[in-house]
Amino acid sequence: MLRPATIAFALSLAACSAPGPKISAHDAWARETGSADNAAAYVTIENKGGADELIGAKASIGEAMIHESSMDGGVMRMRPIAAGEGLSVPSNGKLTLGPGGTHIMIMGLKGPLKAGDHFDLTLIFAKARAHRIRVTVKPAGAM
Amino acid sequence: MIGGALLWRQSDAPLLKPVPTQVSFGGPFTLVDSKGQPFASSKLAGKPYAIFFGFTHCPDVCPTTLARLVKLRREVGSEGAFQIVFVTVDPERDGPKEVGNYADLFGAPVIGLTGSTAQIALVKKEYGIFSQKVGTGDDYTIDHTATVLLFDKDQKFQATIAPDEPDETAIAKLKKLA
Ligand SMILES: [Cu+2]
Repeated sequence: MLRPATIAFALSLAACSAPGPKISAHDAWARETGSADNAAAYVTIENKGGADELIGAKASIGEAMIHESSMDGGVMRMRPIAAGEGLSVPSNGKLTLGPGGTHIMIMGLKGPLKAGDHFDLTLIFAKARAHRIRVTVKPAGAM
Repeated sequence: MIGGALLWRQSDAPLLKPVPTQVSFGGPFTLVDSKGQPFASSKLAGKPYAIFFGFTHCPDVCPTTLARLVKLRREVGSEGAFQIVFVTVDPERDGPKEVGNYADLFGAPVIGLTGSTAQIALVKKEYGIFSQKVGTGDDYTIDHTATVLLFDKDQKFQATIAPDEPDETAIAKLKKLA
């Protein structure tokens, strides 16, 4: 007969066996900037494990936050995602941050970003360990 | 904001040929160029143009739209195919230097324009552009119409390009401008 403690142990083992996220990030880039002290960074996050969420970011060059551009009847709006919310990184799937949608907004730049520059971006997840990547600055004409 | 509302509705539906009762966009304006000199809309005459309203503190949708116009212009033909005009809806922060730096980023001719608050308000009205400041302090953002308006060489309104419109239909419209 199983004692309650053994049952609890068995249950916790079952919970742990749900696969954890396996995150990789690539193609991180940002557009060259002019006089404004902000920039948008884009990245593709791949997940070969269980579901996770991107909940924040830190940049070496300024204050980073997750933003979303949305279009409502031809009118563009850009807002931070709601506090306490994250962007889903589905199990065995990917999350793409790209032009005109969700992006990492970086504010308070000390100088313009020039094509060919690099900076560090740390992606923060609900479950997976923080992931540091190198962002390449591309010419403004990049798509 | 009547013009803004009209453009709004129009860009929701597949683009229809303008019907006689419909408001047409455009009209003469005088703004300020990147050198601080007056820029009259008559300078655009003789060649088609694509006009887009945005602001230089917009790091995502605005540069993406300008980059796309530059790319589409290359696909349609040469840099002479049509002019690309960028007008700020943020004259408070965007002076001649700021719009000039922004327009120069794209590695191809883009005309960057600013103006007084009154000049910008007038041109927005003429072109059916909605914009609204959101937030306070230095870090405010601006909700604004992100639709590109296309004019032929006689400065007659021809069509719009919505931000989420496929390249093929946009190219077809741009080719018709010539
Ligand atoms: Cu943003």
